[in-house]
Amino acid sequence: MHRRRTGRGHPRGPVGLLSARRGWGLLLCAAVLTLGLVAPAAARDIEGCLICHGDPNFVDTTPAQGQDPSLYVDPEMFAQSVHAGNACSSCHQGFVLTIPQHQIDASKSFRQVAIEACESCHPEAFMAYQTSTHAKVYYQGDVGPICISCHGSHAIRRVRLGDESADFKMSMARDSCGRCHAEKFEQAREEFHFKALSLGYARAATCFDCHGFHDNLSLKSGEAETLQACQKCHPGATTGFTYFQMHLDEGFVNAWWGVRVVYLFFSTLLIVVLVLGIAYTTVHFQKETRIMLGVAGRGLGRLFGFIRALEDESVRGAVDDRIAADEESRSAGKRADEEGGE
Amino acid sequence: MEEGKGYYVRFNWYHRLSHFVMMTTFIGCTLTGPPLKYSYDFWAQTMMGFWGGVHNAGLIHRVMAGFMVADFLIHALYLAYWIVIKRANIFGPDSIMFRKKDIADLVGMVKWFFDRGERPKFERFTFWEKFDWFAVFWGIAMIGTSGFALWFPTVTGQLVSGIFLNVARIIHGDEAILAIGWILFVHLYNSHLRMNVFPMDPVIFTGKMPIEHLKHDKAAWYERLVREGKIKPE
Repeated sequence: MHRRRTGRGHPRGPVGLLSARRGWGLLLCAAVLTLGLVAPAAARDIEGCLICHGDPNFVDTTPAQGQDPSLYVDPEMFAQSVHAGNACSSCHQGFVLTIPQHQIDASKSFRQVAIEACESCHPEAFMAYQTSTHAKVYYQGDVGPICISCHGSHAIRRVRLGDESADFKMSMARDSCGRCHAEKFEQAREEFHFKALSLGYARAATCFDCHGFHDNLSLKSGEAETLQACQKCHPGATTGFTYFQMHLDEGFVNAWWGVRVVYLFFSTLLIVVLVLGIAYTTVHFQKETRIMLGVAGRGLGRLFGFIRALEDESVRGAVDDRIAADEESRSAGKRADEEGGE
Repeated sequence: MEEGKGYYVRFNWYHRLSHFVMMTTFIGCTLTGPPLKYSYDFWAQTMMGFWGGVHNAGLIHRVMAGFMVADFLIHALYLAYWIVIKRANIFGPDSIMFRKKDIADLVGMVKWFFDRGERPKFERFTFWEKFDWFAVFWGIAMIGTSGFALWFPTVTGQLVSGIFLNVARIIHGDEAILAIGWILFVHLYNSHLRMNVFPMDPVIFTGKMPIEHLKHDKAAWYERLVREGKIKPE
């Protein structure tokens, strides 16, 4: 957008200058000029701004209410962002570069400048945004999410649509959507889509795969819009399919009662059966341990007999005695064998 | 049933193969499923990485599940053969069906744990073996059905409703944890750590049970086999 056409070295001067040799020379000059002046305009703009804004300690001493006082832009992050080739002024429009305080066009709010800057290069995304609930909130009172609320500003990543990495999908859900819709995100991350995504399965859907990335549909069960969203990945889906609930609370408090009944039944079953099984095994174990150690339990000792038996000095002594006696008899048998052999 | 040299053949080749398939497919599903259920836990990433990602683990999980269900269906046919064609006595001592004696055995076992009586004399199948066998029916019905529902979500949506996918996830996960817990804490204790079998009871793999062991572990069955002249008394 900001690369101006440079006329490929075609001079507008007298025709006589255009001899074959000079032509090449001029072309070379133009190339140098192009490289040296026009293309790095963005770079020079950035370098200029970063003299101050590249300092991590550079802060606004009189910040507006609720405004982050830091005026720092991480140069490295910006260099890696998809907008690295752009000049600062291609987005930060409408101010006069006076130092130390820039003169700002007071007729437009910061957010308005920001949204217009995005619109100038991404008109289609902006049109889709216009139809969303996000935009409605914004136009009603200059609050609510605009482009930069979700995309960030200086570190926008380079992403190929439809080919986003699992990490990108996960972090967008958590850090962009989840920043305002924390509850929805916490609910959705318990379902398989996000679980698979968190393990690196990039095909699994994240927020924007169903809700759209600029039109932000609300999606209710049974609606045609919802079915279309499901069918993007599940081509065989029918209206019944849309009754799957992506946003259920922990413990299924907000779910249909049938789901709560199933949840209560199976979690109770899980606990009761395992507790009974483990209790049975434990008392079995204590009995066999007592048999092996040769001690009888009394009272509660029947239940915890094996612990007492293992702690009891005299029992350990008895076991040692038995092992010694065993070895004694074995060596005696050996001796008898040897004597018999002679 | 044949008489061996100092041992008795308790399980035929089909019994052993059936258990082997059930065991391997169960382990396969156990190693590939939980990393997805507990995907946010520290070990899940590593374990999933071992399989080469969610896609591969899912594939292994489905193949294993397929074999497990096939094993189960073949076993159902085997049962039908014994009940319908061979007219086996379902409530007889050789059957794996629960009988009154099992309740008495359970009570007797608990009494024995607390030094209130002798260890019960078991028949061919002890009550814990029967319980494990029946648990497979419950498990396949619950985990298998919910698993297929999740495997073919659009079919579930068409046949019933999408909300059954939420239900299926609850059932599949909870029952799987129950099955894994039961195998780890109860089944493995009974087949590896019991005094009579430590460090392992190999009978389900070899099919052969030493008569000496049979006499101690399943006294009632031993006495019946001797009475019926199937083994020589020791």
